[in-house]
Amino acid sequence: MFTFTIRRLILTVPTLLFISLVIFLIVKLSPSDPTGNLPLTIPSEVREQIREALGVNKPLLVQYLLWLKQFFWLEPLIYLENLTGWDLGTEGKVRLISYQTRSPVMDLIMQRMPQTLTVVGTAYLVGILIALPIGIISAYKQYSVFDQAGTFISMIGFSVPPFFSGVLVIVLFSVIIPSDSFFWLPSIYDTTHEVVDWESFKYQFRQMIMPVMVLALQITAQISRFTRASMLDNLNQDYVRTARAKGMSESVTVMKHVLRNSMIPVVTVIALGIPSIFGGAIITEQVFKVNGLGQLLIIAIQGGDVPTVQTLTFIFAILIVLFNLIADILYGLLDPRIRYD
Amino acid sequence: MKLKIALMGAVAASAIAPMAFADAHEGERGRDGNVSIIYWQAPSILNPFLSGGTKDIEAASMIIEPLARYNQDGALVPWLVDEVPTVENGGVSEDLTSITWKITPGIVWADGTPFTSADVKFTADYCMNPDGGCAQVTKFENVTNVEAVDDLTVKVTFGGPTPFPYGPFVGGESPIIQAAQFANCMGAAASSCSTENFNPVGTGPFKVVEFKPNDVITMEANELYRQEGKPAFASVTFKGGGDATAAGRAVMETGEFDYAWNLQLAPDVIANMEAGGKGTPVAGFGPLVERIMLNQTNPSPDLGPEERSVIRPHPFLGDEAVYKALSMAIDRPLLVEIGYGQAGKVTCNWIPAPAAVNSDTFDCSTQDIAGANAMLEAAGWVDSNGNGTRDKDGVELNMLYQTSTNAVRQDFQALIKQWWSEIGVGVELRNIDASVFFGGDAASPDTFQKFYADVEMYANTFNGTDPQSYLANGLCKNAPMPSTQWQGENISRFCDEAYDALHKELTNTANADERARIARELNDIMVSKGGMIPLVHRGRLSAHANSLGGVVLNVWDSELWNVADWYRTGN
Repeated sequence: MFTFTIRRLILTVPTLLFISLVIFLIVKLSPSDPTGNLPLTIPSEVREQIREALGVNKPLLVQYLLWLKQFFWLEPLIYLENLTGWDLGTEGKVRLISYQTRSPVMDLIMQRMPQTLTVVGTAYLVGILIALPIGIISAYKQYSVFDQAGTFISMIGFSVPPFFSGVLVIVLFSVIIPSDSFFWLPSIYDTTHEVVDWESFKYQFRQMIMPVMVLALQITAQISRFTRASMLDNLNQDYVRTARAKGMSESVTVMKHVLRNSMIPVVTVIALGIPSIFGGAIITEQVFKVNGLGQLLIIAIQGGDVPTVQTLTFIFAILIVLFNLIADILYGLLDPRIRYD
Repeated sequence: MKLKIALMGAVAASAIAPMAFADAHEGERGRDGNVSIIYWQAPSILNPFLSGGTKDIEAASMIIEPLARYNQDGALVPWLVDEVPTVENGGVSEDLTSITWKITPGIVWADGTPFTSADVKFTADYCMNPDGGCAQVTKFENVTNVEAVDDLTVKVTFGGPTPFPYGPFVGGESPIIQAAQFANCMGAAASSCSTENFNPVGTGPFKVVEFKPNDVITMEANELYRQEGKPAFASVTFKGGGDATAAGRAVMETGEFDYAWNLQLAPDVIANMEAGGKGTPVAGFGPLVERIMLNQTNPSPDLGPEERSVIRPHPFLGDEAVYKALSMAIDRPLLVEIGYGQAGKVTCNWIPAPAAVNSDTFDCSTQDIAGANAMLEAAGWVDSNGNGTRDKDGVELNMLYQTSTNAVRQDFQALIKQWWSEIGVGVELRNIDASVFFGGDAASPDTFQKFYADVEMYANTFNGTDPQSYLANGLCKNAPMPSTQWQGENISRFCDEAYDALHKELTNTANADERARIARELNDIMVSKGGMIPLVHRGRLSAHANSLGGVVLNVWDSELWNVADWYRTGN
C-alpha cells in the first residue's frame, strides 16, 4: 500500500506537468484577446500597446516557462515568506499577474476561496446528509411510495439545471414574497457580510439558503441514487440472509452489515466530488452573485485573462488528481479484499 | 383664540419644515446611510488608465475626477477648475495649439494633501509613458508637452492646431490620479501596483474602504469633499456580477439595490420589471448606433488571404440601386419596437447625437418594399433564371449577413432576411460569439475587422461630444488589411476622395457651428454612398429605486458623474 502510494505520487508530477501544458496551449491557442472586451472606441494601436504591456506577444514557450516558474517557485516562496516572516528574496520579483485586475492571481484565488468553500462546501455537506437516508430507505423499501418519490426528486435534481431552479426560487422567495415577510430571502449574496453575532449569523443563514439548496438538490440526486444502487446490490447478498437467519434485528442487519459494505463505492464517489467544491459552481454562483472561484473563472474566460484561467484550471487539475489518489487509497482501506501491492 | 392660532401655526411650521428640507435635499454629509449600486459587469480595477472597460471607468469616477466633464446634455462643465478654457476667455491660445487650465483653489485629496498642477502633469506623464499600456492614451493624442506653470495652472501644448483641445483631463476616461501615490507605478511598473490600482486616492465624493476585484467595492464618504453637505450617503456598496436581468430585478422587483446600470434587456422584460413597482427605468441617448456595414471590398472565399476583403470593388454592393433598396426594405420602427423599446429610436444617420451634428437629410422611417423592388428593376437587377434572387450579368444578389451572438441581433437578422427576400435578395445568416467577433485576433477569420462577409451588423459609438476622430473611421487609409494585421477602424473599407478631403477640413476648423456642419456632411456622404445602413439609435437604459433621488442619467460621461448629489427621498 505504501509503495503504491509513493509510486502514484511520483507519477502525478509528469501527469500534472503534461496537464499544465495542455491547459496552457488550449487557453493560448483559442481565439481570446485580453483587449477584446474593451469598448470599440479604443483604437487598435492602443490595444496593441496594452497587449504588449501585458506580455501577450512573447513567444509561447517563454510564456509557459515563466508561468511554471511563477506558479511552482515564486508564489510558494511568497506564501512561505508571509507565513514565517523570513526574507527569501522575493521582493520586486514579478508575480503571476491577472490581465484583468493587474493584481496577483493567487491573491484573487485566496480572496475567493472562503465564499466558495462556505456556500458550495455547505451545499455538498447538506446534499450528502439528505442523500444518504433517502438512498438507504429507498433501497430497503424498494418500489414503495417513498422510493418512487425519491426517484422523482432525483430525476428533477439531475435534469433541472441550476440556471432554471435558481431563478425559479429567486422569483418565488425574493420577488413574489414581499420583502418585509419572514419568508423573504435575499436574491443577491453579500460577500462583504461578516458573521459577528447572532443577528449577522441569521442573515448569513438566510442568504445562504437559496444557493445552498439549489446546489444540494443536484448533489442529493447523484449521491442518493448511488447509495440506493449500492444498498440494493448488498441487500440480496448471501451474508444478509445469514445475518437474518442468525436472528439479528433488522436495524443491525441493515445499518451495520449492509450499510457498511454499501458505503465503499459511495465514499469513493463522495471523495471524487470534493474537487468540484473548489471548482465552485459556476452557474449557481453567477445566479446568486456569490462571486466565488466559479465566477472568477468565468469572468477570466470572458475577459481573455490567460494567467487566471490557467492557474485556476491547473489548481482544479491538481485537486482532481489528488482526490483520485485519495479515493483509491480509501477504497483499499475500506475494503480489505482490495490490495494494490 | 390667539393661543389656538399660534399653536396651529407652530404645527403647520413643523409640518412644513421637513418638507422644505426634503425638497432642498440638504443637510449633513452622510445623513442618508448606505446606497447600493449593482453593475452586472463587475469592476476589475479602479484605475481607468489600465482598463478601458466602462464598468471600471464608471466605478472609478466616484473616487477620482477629471478637470472638466460633460453634463447630461453633452455640454462641458467645469469640475475641478473654475471655468472651461475657450478661445473667448483666453484659456485656449489663438493658434489653437495650447490650452491652459486653472484649478479651483482649495481642493484637497482624500488624504488631506493639496491637489496641485503637479498631479495633473503627473497624470499625463503616467498615461503617455509608452511602456505602461495606457488604455486612454488617445485622450492625449498629439500632446507634446504638459507644463505645471504654477501650483494651480496647467498648460497643455499640442503638436499642431487642435480645434477640440478637450481630450486630456476631461470626462470619466481621463481623471487625475495622485502623483504622490502613483510615483512608483510609471511605465512597466504599472501592473505591479495592485494596492494603488485598487485603492486610488481621489478628490471625489467617495473613497474606497475595500475593493474585491470582480466582486464588490465598499466605499465611504470622503470627509474632505469640497462641497458642504455632500455626498448625502455615508457609504456605498458597489456590487458587480450576474447578468442584466438579475440586476434589473434587484432594483425594480426585489428592491435590494438602489441603482442598476445598463440594462440591455428586451422591452417587455423591462416593462414586467417596472410593474414590480420598486424602481424606475431611465433612458438617455448618446451617439450609439446599431448599423449594418456594407462591405466595399470583395469577400469571396475564392480569393487568397491577401485579397479577400481587401480588393475593391464588391461585386454588387457598390451599386447605388442595391444599397438604397436594401435600406428601403427595412421597417425601422418595427425593429425599434421589438429590440429596444424606450431605449431605441429610428435613425438614418451614422452620427445621431449630439443634436447639432444630427443630419436631417434622410428620411427612412417608412418601409417601402415596392419602391425597393422598382428601383432594383430599373437598375437591371431581375430574376432572369427564376431561382428567387435577382441577378445581373451573371452576378446573383446573394449575401452573407453576420453579426455577434445576441438575442436582439438574431431577431433583427431574421426580420431583415425576410424583408430582403421580399425584394429578391438572398441572405445567409451567421452569428459569431461576441468575444471572437469583437476580439480582434488577427488569426481568426471571424472578426468584424476581417469582415469575411457581405454585410455585418453591430453597434458603435464615440466618447465625448466631438465626432472628429470617430469620423476618421471613414477615411480610406483606416481600412483593415493584412499589412496592418487587420487593425483599422474603417470596417466597411469605405473610400471616397471627397470624404477624405472634407475630413481634413474638419481637423482645421475651430468654429463649433462650422464643425457641426462638416460633421453632418460627412455623415451624409457615408450614408448616401453606401458605407453603411444605420438602423437604430440606441440609448442607455438604467434603473434606480423609487427612493433614490438626484439621478441624472448621463450618456456623455460616467453614469455616476453626479453621485455626490444623490439622496434618499422620503418614500
